Amino acid sequence: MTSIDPGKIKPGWTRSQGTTFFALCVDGASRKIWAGGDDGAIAVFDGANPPKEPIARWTRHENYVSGVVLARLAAGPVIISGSYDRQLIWWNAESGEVIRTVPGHDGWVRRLALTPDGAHLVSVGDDMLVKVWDAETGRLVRSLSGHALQTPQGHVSALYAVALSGDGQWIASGDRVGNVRVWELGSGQLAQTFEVPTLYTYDPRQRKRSIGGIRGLTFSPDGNSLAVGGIGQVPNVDGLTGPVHVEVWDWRKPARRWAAGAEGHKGLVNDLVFHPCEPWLIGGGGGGDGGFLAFWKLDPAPTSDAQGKDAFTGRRVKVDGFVHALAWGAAGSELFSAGYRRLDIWPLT
Amino acid sequence: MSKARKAFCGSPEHTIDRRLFLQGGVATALGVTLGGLGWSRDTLCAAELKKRGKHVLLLWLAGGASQLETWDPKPGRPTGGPFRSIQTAVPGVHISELLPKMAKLMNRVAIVRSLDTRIGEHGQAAEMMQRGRRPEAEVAYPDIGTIVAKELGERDSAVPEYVSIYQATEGQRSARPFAGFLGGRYAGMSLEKSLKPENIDRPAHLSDQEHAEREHLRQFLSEQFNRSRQADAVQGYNSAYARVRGLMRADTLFDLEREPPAVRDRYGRTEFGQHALIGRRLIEAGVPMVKIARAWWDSHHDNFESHRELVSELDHVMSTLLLDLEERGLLESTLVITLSEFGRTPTINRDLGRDHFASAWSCTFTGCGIRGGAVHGRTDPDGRSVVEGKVEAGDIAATIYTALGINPHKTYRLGSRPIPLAPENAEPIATVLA
Repeated sequence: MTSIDPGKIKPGWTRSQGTTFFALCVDGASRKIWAGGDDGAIAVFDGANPPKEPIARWTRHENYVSGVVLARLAAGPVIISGSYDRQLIWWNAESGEVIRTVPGHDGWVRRLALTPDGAHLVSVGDDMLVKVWDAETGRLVRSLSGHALQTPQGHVSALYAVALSGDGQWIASGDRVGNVRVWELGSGQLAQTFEVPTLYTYDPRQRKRSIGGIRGLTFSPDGNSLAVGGIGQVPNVDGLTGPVHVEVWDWRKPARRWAAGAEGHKGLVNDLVFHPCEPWLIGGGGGGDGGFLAFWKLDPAPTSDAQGKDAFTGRRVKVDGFVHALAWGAAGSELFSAGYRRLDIWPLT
Repeated sequence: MSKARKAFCGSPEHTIDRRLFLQGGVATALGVTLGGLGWSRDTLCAAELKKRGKHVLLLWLAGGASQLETWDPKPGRPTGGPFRSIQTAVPGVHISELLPKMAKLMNRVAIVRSLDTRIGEHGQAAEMMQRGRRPEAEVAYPDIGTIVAKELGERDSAVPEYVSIYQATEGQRSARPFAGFLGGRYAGMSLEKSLKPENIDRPAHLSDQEHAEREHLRQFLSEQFNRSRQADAVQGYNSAYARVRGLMRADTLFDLEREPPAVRDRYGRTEFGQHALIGRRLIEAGVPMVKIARAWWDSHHDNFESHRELVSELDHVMSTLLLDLEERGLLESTLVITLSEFGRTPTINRDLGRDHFASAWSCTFTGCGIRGGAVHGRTDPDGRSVVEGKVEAGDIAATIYTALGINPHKTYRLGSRPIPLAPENAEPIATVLA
């Protein structure tokens, strides 16, 4: 039984401003929010007493901030950020003092993820590498290659998404053409790879331009499934006019458990999260017919595309702007979203 | 008895001596300018052509390429987007970091950063930019490519005068070669579905030699007839037959299997890259006007992801093309243009897209008649408006004609009405002209 009713969800707090946010992380206990934006800054908000203005702005990056994570290290809490400026920066989470700056990738840093124990940071970038870092020292532990540098049509590719399993053992990464790779974090061994071609559009006759890719990627709480999200086949690449599309895979086999859209809604799922304790998969995105949060109910757990379709029954919440990133508050009681010129807090229960 | 020598554009310099074609028999009669492709070539004709042959290769970026992600970046501004700018080979001139190969060649390239063309609708804007003027209901103006082909083409040329390779559905209808009031004689060859020109296959029951012998006989008889009766009609028939035969043989120009793999690899195995290579082959073979379209620039959503792909491709293809033309001694005589129907909005919309924008955008000229390294015009710090050197569609047309040595104010006659090649108020952009 779930206590969440997507039909009744409304934002509890919205911060609208000129910045478009691409990344955020939240301290569930204090409700403090760190959001990275297109102004190259990390804006810090006190979510417990939401102000109109951020309580601090950390400006060291020289381009869009695309990833932020909160690491609770022995020396104290640290924010680690990644940017299109190719850098990773470690910040004192309280003061904003820069602890270290590390060259991250030879290309835009697209996303970051942190192991639950805070020991390892994983980054992905447009050099198509997955990099594992010692979160404490900033030392590069290993660099994992395998995603193709180019699309099958000879264009530059991108490595959009990364996820870590709840036990910190597995890394998943997803690229522009729909290739998913799963690696064992400890050894760096490739454990699995599979393709999700629905999420990549390239029409060699009508629409000769790539669009889509794996944009949302997350492990289920039990670590047995991987959810991937993006946009289905796009009939006109001038816009994100394809259907919202998610798939859930048994990544070990690998085999698709189910796929679903959002009742004909169009758009791109840019981030995906499983609820930490309730049976919901939630996506955030935009394009098509507007910004959205989409809720797929996993009780009973779908085991086919038909059941996946039933998992979405009108559970789409409109957001006035593209949603780029999602994060959980304490125990999944609140969902935080960041996107086009806005931050929102969504009380779920 | 005088032998008719009608230069296509009226200039004696543009006359090809038909006797030179005929005296070599079948083998040379049709081998006008197809050197380098294993075709026979009359060296005198080739020298003549090399002396005065000029060409245009238009890279048509259909849908509207973003000036901010190409030639007029605004890094660090709210409108700038995530791409940085990089220093080019020309001190003080910066372009998008997506164009590193072109940055090294900018001493050959002139940028116009101040197009203010007002029309932001694809079809109307494409027609206007391709014709150098707003369409009028009373006059079917030919497009710039047709005028270039008419002015630079040779009456007896065995290669097409205007080839357009446009194999995307986006914007295809608005950017087709358009002969307008010049009529069907000047219709360009438009390759939209395949690279094989349609309806030019030799009849199956004829061998190539039989077909060529028939043509030779027809030419011989028509020459005899024409020696006694100076008849424009016969000249026209001869020209048409030569063109048909030429088109049949031009089929090989589009066959990239004849290119060494290394050359194909150099251009990149993308469709745009391979089409650009065909463009170079056509230029080398003497085609005066070639248009290569690369579509799908209309990035209302996800602009930065699409431009990351498209501009990177443009950087590779355009730089390879310029170097290849230069290495073959053709860049000096070939005007390479990048042009769209308009640019894209400085404002980044909610879907990380940029919309149509005709108020302050960019194009480039390289090669024939162009002062490399020049930058004309300036936009404001956010790229929202032109603050210096405003340029309109007619000025682009006038610049193209002037760079090629064609008087933009020359007139054609439509009935009793004189029609200037470029609009009367248009002026060539002196900054970018050599």
